[in-house]
Formats: sequence, structure tokens, C-alpha cells
Amino acid sequence: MCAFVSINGVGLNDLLERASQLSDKLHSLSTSLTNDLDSHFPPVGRVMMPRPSMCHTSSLQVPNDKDQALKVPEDELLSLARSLLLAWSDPLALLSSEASSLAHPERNTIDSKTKELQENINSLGAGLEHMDSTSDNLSSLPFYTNSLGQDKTSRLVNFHFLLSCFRRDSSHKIDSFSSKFSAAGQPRRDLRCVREDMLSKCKTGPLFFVSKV
Amino acid sequence: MWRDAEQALTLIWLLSWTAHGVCHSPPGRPRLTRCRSPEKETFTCWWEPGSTGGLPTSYQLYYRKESSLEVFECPDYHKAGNNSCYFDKQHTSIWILYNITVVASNALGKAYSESVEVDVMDIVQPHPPENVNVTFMQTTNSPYFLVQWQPPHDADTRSGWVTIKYEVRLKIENSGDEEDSSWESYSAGKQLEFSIYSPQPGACYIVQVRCKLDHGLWSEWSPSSFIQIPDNMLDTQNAVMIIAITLTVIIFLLTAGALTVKMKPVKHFLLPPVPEPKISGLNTQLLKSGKSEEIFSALITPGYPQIVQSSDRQVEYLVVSDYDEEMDFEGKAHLEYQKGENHPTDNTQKGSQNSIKISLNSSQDLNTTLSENVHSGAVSNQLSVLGEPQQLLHLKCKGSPVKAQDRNTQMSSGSNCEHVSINPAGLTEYVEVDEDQKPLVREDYSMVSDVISDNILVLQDSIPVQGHKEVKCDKTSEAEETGGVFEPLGYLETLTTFSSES
Repeated sequence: MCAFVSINGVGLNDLLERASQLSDKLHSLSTSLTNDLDSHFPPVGRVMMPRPSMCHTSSLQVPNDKDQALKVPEDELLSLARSLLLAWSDPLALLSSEASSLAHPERNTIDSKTKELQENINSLGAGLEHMDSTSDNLSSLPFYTNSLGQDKTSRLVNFHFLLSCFRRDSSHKIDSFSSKFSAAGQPRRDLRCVREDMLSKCKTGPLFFVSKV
Repeated sequence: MWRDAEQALTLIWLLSWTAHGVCHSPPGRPRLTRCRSPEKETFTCWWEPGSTGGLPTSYQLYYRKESSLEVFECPDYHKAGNNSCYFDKQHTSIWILYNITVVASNALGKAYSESVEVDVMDIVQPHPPENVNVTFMQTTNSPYFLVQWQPPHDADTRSGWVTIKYEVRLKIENSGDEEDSSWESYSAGKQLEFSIYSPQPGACYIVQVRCKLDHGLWSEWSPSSFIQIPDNMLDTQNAVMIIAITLTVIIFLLTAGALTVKMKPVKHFLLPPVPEPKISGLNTQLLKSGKSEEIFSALITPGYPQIVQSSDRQVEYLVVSDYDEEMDFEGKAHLEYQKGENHPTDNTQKGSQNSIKISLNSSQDLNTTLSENVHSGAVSNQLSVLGEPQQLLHLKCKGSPVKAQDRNTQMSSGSNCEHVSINPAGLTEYVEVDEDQKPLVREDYSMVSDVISDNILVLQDSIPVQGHKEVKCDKTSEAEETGGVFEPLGYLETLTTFSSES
């Protein structure tokens, strides 16, 4: 059976609960933001939209399927998750500041949701940091842009693009990089307990945070 | 001749054209309808062909991955059926956009569909749950039915690659009813069973389950499962209730019957009659007859109306005693303590006027008698002194201010524990209670620095000797020493003492 260590007095189940709540929250926020943006998006914007490979986080090497993901050690996966989270703090700040001046009828809703998104990401990042103290593995994914554009259309398009990059990174990548699959599949010496449905198969070890972002 | 040949050719061409009966044309554009990944490891895309153009048309699907320019063709056209392309595990990568195009080609040309960009993570929709079965559990008090199912066989929940969530819905099948009841949905989380409590007896339920992976799309509903709830669900609870209700009704009827039979005594028992007001002497019959004189004559009885002495007024009365040398109660000094009507026992209320009648006996020391009887809590006490004091009375109140009031002149002075001396007016019939009005003291007892003995006050700014209020007791008591104003007064003065502690 697993031995659990509680961090800061909070038990594992609570942490997992919080994690999945945050994750769902983030997903619903980013989805609704995308829907809001799409409601009044100029058709020309879709043409102008940059490729997803232009996301500033695309340089990060991530496993692309299940078998690959299963082979990667958990610490690396956690580092990936943390790197991604870290890479998004600056862009989210930019989005937050620019949301209120978008040329979009729903900009107030968008503004509040973006700020909520920023808060949630920060709290999740803080949670992850608690879990894993080894921060030497973090990749740096710098974000050099400090403005969304000059004219209102390009600003809208870039906002949408950044948001889609974020959605992709948060809803999907970090989600799967939480070692939710490693506990059962590979018995490892320093395996960390992950999710409640796989606890019986975990080995002992310190707590591992499941970031279902 | 050329014209003939031309016409012949045209004719032949026309004939050959019509002989086929159908127009041949290049194919119409196909259209990609949907792509789905049932378990986030593989995916399939389907398309809809356009017009065939009358010629056999073949379809190819080409795709390009996000970051490279290399174009690949569909790895498997057959596994998923017609007009489909199945990407197996090796060919499926997540977080990479696939740019997919379908090409229709026939002898006359090609047609390209619109390109579609697909990310596998966005198209995840699992198969419905399997082996849904429903069983009815009849427990004693709370019957329910249990829905159980299995996850779709291709979803890898064991390793945690995906997290699966279920949803159950049920509906009562109304065979014959026109209006259809609506579905009730319940979220079942990650568990593989679900209980529905308190089903309707005799109803037939339709149950379905569906699932979803992570943040993907909901699957289709599973095929309907049916369950019939048995009809005779009159369990003991119902029977007990029915019996109880019947008994209650019987008891109620009996009580009602008994009440109707014995109306009056019960009524008197439950609702005793309210006594009517009666005026003694007043005959209500006379009222009816209307003769007023008779009525009121009956009312007037000797002794009515009664004269009630008002007891709430403080009676100020003069006590004038005529004391000869033969006193009735000579040698007796007694204190009559007559209290005001309002405040009999407690002495702490303002305005209570207590009068003290003091009959003096020469042998007795009034001081002690008074000190016993003057309560410190009294607000005001009227001290009336009767009899013939053989000595001057020095009233020393302990801490309570003494106010001597001259009734005639309405001069009053109040001071804190003033030294009051009662000078007997000789052998007159009255006693004077005099207030010492020496200017030394007046109403300001702050000048008193010490009290030496019973009748000596020491004032601050004077030599003790001179500051004495020495009042000597005299039989004649006409003369006084220092500063006592001695006025023969023809009436009795009353002393009022105010308590400072009220």
C-alpha cells in the first residue's frame, strides 16, 4: 500500500481534490473564453491566425503518444508540467492587461475570465512547487512579446492565438503529464502516489502532485 | 463532302454521347464529415463523397503533420468501413495538428476536399459503456434498483492514461400515454454502478449510460435496458399506516357520537360558563321593565357609597399635646414611628415621609433612642417631639443630612448632619426644635474638622473652645451660649431629615 506524506498538513486526497477542481475550472474557463472570442471573430482573423507551431512553448519536447509518455520518468514529466506553467505566467499577464481594451463586445467578460485564469494558474504553479523541489530540470521558455499588436484586428487575432496555445498546453499537455498513468504501469523505486484510483498499486514515496491542469 | 463528313462526325459524336445515357464529369468535392478518437490512442476520419461524375471514383486521404511538409497517405482505408481512414497507434500523435485532405479522382479529373485541421485531443469520444444491466433489489424498507456497467473495452483506464466519467439516465416508459415523460440524468462519477431508490411500483423504466474521457466529448448512450418494478409493493409500512388511519377514523366517530349524546355536561366540562357580572341590589328584571326609580332605589343602601379615607396622601398633622404636670405617661418616652402609607417598610425611596413622634422622658437619653430609630436609609423623617424634654436634644445623625424646617416661615436649611438641638420651651406645651443657625456652620459642614464629644463640633478655622457649639442643657433653657438662636416659637417645628443614602 502507499504511504502518504501530507504536505503542510493537507492530506493527499485533499490535494488531489483541489487539483482536479483547479483543472476542471481552468478547462471550463479556457473553453468559455474561446467560445466568447469566437462569437464575434472576424473571418479574416482565422486566415491571419498563426500556426500552432508558433506558440512560444512549442519548442518544448513533449511525448506525443501514450507509449512515449509511459517511458518518460515521472520527475521529468513533472518538470515538463512545471516548465509549461512557468512559461505561461508572463503571457497571461499580458493577456490580462490587454483584455479590457480588446475590440470585442464581450471584452468585460473576457477580462474577468482572463484574470481568473491567471489566478488559477498561479495557484496551481505554487502547488506544484510544493510537490517537487527539484527545479533544476526546468526548461526556460521565454516569452519576448510585450504587446499584442498595433491595430485592433491583429490584437484580437493574437489574443485568440495566445489563448489557443494556452488551451492546448493547459487542458491537454499538463493534464496528461501528471503521472496518472505511471503508478500502475511501471513499478518504480521512487514512484510517487498519484491518484486515488491507482493508490493501491503505488509504491512508497513522497507525494507527487497530480496536476490535472 | 466535307460538310457531310462533319455532319456525320457530329452525329456519331452525339450518338456516342447519348448512348451512355449519363454525363461524365470530374468528381464533385468530397467532404470530411468527422474524425473521432475513441481512446486517445488512435483515430478515424470519415468523409462524404461528392458526386461521382458517373465514373468510378477512387478516394485518397492525404495528411500532413503540423511542423513538417511531408505528405502521407492514409494508412488504413478499410478497418473503419467505407469512406474512412483509420490511423493506428503508430500513426497517431497527440498535440500535433493533422492537416487532412481527401481527394476524389476519376478518369476525368480530381477533386480536392477542404482541408481540415485535427488535433487528436480535441476529438476524443469514447464508445458507450458495455454490459449495462439493471436489477431490482427488494429490501424491506427501501426498495431500489441497481444499474451496473462496464467501461468500453478500448479505453485504457487501468494505467490512468484517461480518466473516465459516467452518466446514467432513466425514464418511465409510458405505453399508451400520449405525453412522454422526460429523462432524469444522474452523474455517476467514476464508479461502475448506481442505485436508484424508491422506484414507482408497477412502472417500467428505461435506463441508459454514457461516458466521457477527461475533457472530451460524451459518448453515445448505451442501448436501453428495461426493468419492470413489481406491483404489489404494499409493504408493512403501508399496511400499518392504513390500519392506523382506520382506527383514528373509528375513534373520531365514536367521540363525535358520544359528544352529541352528552352535549350539555361535556360542554360544561370543557367550556365552563363565564360568570356574569352581578350588581348586588340591582334587579335586571327591573331594568327590563324600565322603571328607573325602582332600580336605583334598590341600589341605594345605607352605607353606600362608602367613604374611603385616602391613604396615599401624606397626612401632615399637628400634634398638639396638652401636657400638664400630670402626664399620663409620665416617665415614658416612646417613640411612635408612624410611617407614610406609601412606603411602609422600605426606607429607600425618595419622598417617603416618615414621621417620628417622640415622647420624651427626662430620664431617657433621646440620642440613643433616636439613633436606634432613625434609619439611615430613610429619605425623610419627620421628627416630632412630644412631651417635655428635660434637656436639650442633640441630634446627631450619622452621615445623614438633617434638615430642619420651620413650618411657619418656611425657612429651611438642609445640611449634612447638622447639629440640631431641640430646646424644650420650658414648660410650655410644645417643644421647639431649633436649628442651630450659627453662622459658623450654616450649611457647610466642611468646616467641621472634628467632633469631640456628644455635643461639641470642632470647626476648622476657630479655636476649639470658641468653635464649640456648646449647648448646655438648661432647665430653663432660655439662655444659650454661643450663637444659638433661640426663638420662642409658638408651634411645633418638625424636623426633616434627609438621608443621603437614598
